[in-house]
Amino acid sequence: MKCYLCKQDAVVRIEYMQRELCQQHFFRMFEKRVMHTIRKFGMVKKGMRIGIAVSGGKDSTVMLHLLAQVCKPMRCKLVAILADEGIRGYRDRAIVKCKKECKKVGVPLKIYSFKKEYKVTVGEIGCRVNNSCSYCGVLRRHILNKAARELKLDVLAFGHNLDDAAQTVIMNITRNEPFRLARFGASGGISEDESFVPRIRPLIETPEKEIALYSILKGYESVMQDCPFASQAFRDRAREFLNGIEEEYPGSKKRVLESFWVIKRALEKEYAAKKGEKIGKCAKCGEPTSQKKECKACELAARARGIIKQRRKVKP
Amino acid sequence: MLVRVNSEKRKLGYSGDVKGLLKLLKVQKETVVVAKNGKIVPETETVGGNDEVELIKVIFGG
Ligand SMILES: [Zn+2]
Ligand SMILES: [Zn+2]
Repeated sequence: MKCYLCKQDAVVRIEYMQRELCQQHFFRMFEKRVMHTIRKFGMVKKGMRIGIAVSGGKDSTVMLHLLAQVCKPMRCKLVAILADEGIRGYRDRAIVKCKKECKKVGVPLKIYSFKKEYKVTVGEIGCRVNNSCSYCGVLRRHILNKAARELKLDVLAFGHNLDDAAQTVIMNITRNEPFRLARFGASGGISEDESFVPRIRPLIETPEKEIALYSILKGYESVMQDCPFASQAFRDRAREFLNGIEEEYPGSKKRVLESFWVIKRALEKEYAAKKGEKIGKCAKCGEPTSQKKECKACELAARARGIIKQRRKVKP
Repeated sequence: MLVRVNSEKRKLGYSGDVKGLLKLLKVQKETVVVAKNGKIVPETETVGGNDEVELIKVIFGG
């Protein structure tokens, strides 16, 4: 098979374009689309201080390289931030790869460990409960926001891709939780409160498989493996469903997202009242929270420490 | 034809495009990148004979 633009051998067929592309033309198409997303949502502005949430996985690695490229002429200050949740044999391997890739693009890497911050790791929780993802998610967002504030960053970039976004949309609709969708998007904060560092998602319009292919062809080092404690049954079903639909009706994921952009405007109006929601400060860590005393992260971290203590006592 | 999925190898009598091969193996197209004789190829590529085909799983979960 040949590229439709030149005589080179094709490396990929983009089904929703009904075209084969060679490596060079695939790179060009891929990069153009990410740049377009960044421009369309005004994600990057001159001189910004941008935090890149990295994990050593393929999505954040590709994002790191592309942001480094985009930000150079805009004289932005970049820093990669990694939340080390402490899963041995998994995150430590990812960190080694992540360090290499950060070095390649000359972006400093800062690592924030759960052990240090919360006195508990997801490795420890994961062995004892079967919903460690919910602990991990809350603590991860908490530690990254805290880091972003300490580093005085203007935005925090996440490597969420088109597949993640389409899954989130389908999941929230299926659960009848549209208010959650009002807060989801390509850029912006989860709240108007200034202590929440705004987020950007430069890969939100890029299919996951293309990110993997780009990463492989570029020779980036990343971990292509699932977390050993991953237990997101509902998301897995949504992924399978969307991949099935995409195969039969190419471009479906993109259309889910396109519909979402339109629905989002209506949702934002509908839930505008919630924007005025009172944001206080956590009595324990000082991070913003809508809870009364301590924030969700401090609450979960305490519960996790409790679980570990309890189970230890039982042991002989 | 030799098909390698992750590190598992197996012989398969198949001739046709990659798309058909994935269907036969019940692998979702969106979850793998395919290499033929060490080179990454589109799903419209024809495989068979003495080809060595590798399915690289890139999307996990489920
Ligand atoms: Zn070409
Ligand atoms: Zn707190």
